[in-house]
Amino acid sequence: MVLEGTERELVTACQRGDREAFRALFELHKDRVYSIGLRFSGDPAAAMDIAQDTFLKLFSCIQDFRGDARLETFLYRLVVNSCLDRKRKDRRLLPLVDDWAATLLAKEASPSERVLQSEVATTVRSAVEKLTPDLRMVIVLRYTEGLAYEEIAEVLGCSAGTVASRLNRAHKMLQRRLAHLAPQCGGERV
Amino acid sequence: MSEFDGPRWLRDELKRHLAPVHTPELLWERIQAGSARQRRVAVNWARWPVAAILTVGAALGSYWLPSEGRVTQPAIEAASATDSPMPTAEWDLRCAPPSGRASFYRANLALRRGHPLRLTASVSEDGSNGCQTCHVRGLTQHHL
Repeated sequence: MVLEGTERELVTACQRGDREAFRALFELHKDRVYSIGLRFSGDPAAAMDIAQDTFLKLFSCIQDFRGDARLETFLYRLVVNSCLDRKRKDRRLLPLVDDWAATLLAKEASPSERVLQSEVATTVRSAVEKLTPDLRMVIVLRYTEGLAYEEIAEVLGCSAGTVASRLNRAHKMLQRRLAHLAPQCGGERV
Repeated sequence: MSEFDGPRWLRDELKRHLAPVHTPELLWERIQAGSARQRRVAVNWARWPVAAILTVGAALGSYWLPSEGRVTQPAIEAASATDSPMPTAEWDLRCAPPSGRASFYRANLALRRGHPLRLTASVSEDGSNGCQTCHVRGLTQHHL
């Protein structure tokens, strides 16, 4: 068993159907789940849907959780699946809306606004959102959750080498797309 | 393992702008509402098999119950076959005009009573109207 004492008790209580235990488990992990959904989708409403879907799945399949893996890993897998499911649905329904919105945002950005930190944030997040889902997910797990390569590999069900390769490609793409921010961001650091 | 993590400024920006956030308060209410909706959907889906089973049961019942009633039918048919000199297979059961139906009923009723009568009105010697055959056989009461 990999679970810590308190968490194991919570899971056991959840498996008995204790609603208070569900609430406690939710409070323990809600920010983590919502943050991954938000950073992956870039949309608060979509992040709410992802978080809701993830917790409903967790509560419905908590009976099957035997404690062989860490609960965080189990939860990360659920939220990753919810994110990818959501992405597939969005792609089916609105294939061109993302590109259209990105074009509008790019036109609205003025040189004076670019010096603002919020604009940098928008630019960085927009660049991340344009990555393919598999590259975006490793970036989110790495920078939002601070997971190590091995942990990301365990969550995604692939090798650590695959994770490193995806991170490498994602960094190169982001570096190319955000190259105009390099002097500004580097200047702040110096 | 590739350790290419990009330049430091990029990693710092990613850490800063992809940092975790706090969850809105209404998420728990949404989850509870979603859980209730999920249960409702599950119940709705459970209704379909129940409805299908009931429909099939009703169909089988409507087939089997008349069949159960037909158990006594052979005995009735055998009895009527012995009564009737006319083979039932030759009966013309197509719809007939009212006058034809009336004569058919009269003829068959008479046949079933064992009097294959020809229904011809006659006037007897004493002047009373009646069935000629009945008069011949000495019957005082008309059997129709």
